[in-house]
Parts: sequence; C-alpha cells; structure tokens
Amino acid sequence: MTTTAETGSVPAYGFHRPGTSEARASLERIYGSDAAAKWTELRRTAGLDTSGPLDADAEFGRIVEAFLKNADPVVSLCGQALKIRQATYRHLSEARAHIGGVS
Amino acid sequence: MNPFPFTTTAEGPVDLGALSTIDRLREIAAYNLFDHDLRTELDVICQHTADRLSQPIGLVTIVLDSAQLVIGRSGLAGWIAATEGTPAEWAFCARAVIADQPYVVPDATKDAVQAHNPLVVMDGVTAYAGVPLRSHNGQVLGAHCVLNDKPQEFTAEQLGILEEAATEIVEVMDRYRRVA
Repeated sequence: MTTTAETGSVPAYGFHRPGTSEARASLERIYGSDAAAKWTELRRTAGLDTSGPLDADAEFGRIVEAFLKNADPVVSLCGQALKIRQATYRHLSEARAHIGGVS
Repeated sequence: MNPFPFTTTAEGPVDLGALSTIDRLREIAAYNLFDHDLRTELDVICQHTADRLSQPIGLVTIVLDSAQLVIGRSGLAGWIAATEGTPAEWAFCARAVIADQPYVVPDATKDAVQAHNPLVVMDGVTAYAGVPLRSHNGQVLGAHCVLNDKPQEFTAEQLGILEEAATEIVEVMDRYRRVA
C-alpha cells in the first residue's frame, strides 16, 4: 500500500472520505495485473512521485484530475466516478457542518 | 481497499464489483455522456415518464464502476442534483444493472435490502422502480427510473411505460455515440 491512512467520514451516511487507495483499488478491479502500470502513469501525470507514499487527502484531487484527463476513456470514466464520490463527501460533510454537526 | 466488495441482501449477495467489467465500461465510454443536447433530450424523457407514472422524480443514470452518474433528470434537487450522482453502493439503479432486470421497491423503509440505505434513511427515498438501459451491443449501461418519497405500488403497465422509455433513451443515446 502506498498511501497514508485516509481520515474523515460522514457518520450519518457511513461514508468515508475517498482517498488515493480507493482510486488505486478502482483501477485494480478493472484492469487486474495491468493496474500497476496505469497507476504509475497516473501518478506521473498528476506530478506526484511515482514510488513514494502519497498523502491521501492532499493528493486525491490531483489523482482524480489525472484520471479524468487520461487518454484511456475507461480510466476517464473511472475518474468521473471518483469525482462523484469526492463531491458526495464534500456536500454531505458541508451540510453536516451547516446543521451544527460535530466532526 | 475495496469499499464495497459484497453487499448481502435478502435476495442473496450482490457483487458490486460486477460493475467493473471492462467490456461494459468500454461500451459506456463509447457515448458522449456530457453532450448538452443529449442531456436536454433525456431531461424531457424523464419529465414525460414521471408525468405518465405520476411520480415526482424521473432519472436516467449511468452506473459506473464506483458511482452512478445522473445524465437525465426531472424533479431532482438537493445534493444528488449538485453532485450529479451517488456512490454505487447506495444506487438502487446498480441493482437493476447487475441483475439486468427491473428493480422495484414499493416501500424502502420496510425493505430488507434498502431500509438502511442512507438515501432512504437520510434523504427520504421511499419508492423506486427502475429498468435497465441495454445498448445495442448487449451491455447494460444504467437504468431509467422513477422515485417517490411516499410508498408506491407499481403496476405491470407502469413498468411497461418505463421499458418503452428506456428503449427510447438508448435510441437517443445512440445518436451521441463517439464509437460505433
């Protein structure tokens, strides 16, 4: 595993903040043994070190952008799904803040 | 990390990993899902279906590997409208896609599969009826569905209306294919 632990959740929805490990898992489900090479390519596109650990929260947005821009349309679709998961977390956690929820 | 390896239901385990098959995703990728004119045409069909079935919400969704993407809608508001989708593990439409058959939930609050779904508990989705969208290559892309915040019994005739509209939706989508 090349990511640090992801933190944050919206307890009422049982939804955890998506992170880079989730992004990599998406690739692995779709591409199996070919996922490692695609992951390296995506990290390079995102301007991230291709071998070191990632900060899940800080780097996730850049990885999603790299997915969306990828020449393989399936990878781009996968990025669209990750973007929805990211937006879901953002909207639900903001809504919780507006109604005075505690983190 | 797999956020949703299996979900156990009263009808048996559902493997949401089945959404990640490469052939199905390639077929979805053949469509220009973000074309403004496509979205407008699908919104009209959603409105028509919702009106015919007397339901407040009608949707066209594409079920991706880990989320559903709303590409046509009528009556949808709130965070799902803003995000244009939901995580796949909450998506009623994912079940229609995986089973490749209509999925109907008359009262989600009393349904063994859906009663604890956050869309039911937190957002008030109570009734659902959806049918798969099948491409001409035989892949299931997503679903056409109606939602209600009150319990609803759906008739065979109403499901027939949904099926007719699903056929029309795929015909419309075919005009927006990027790849044959």
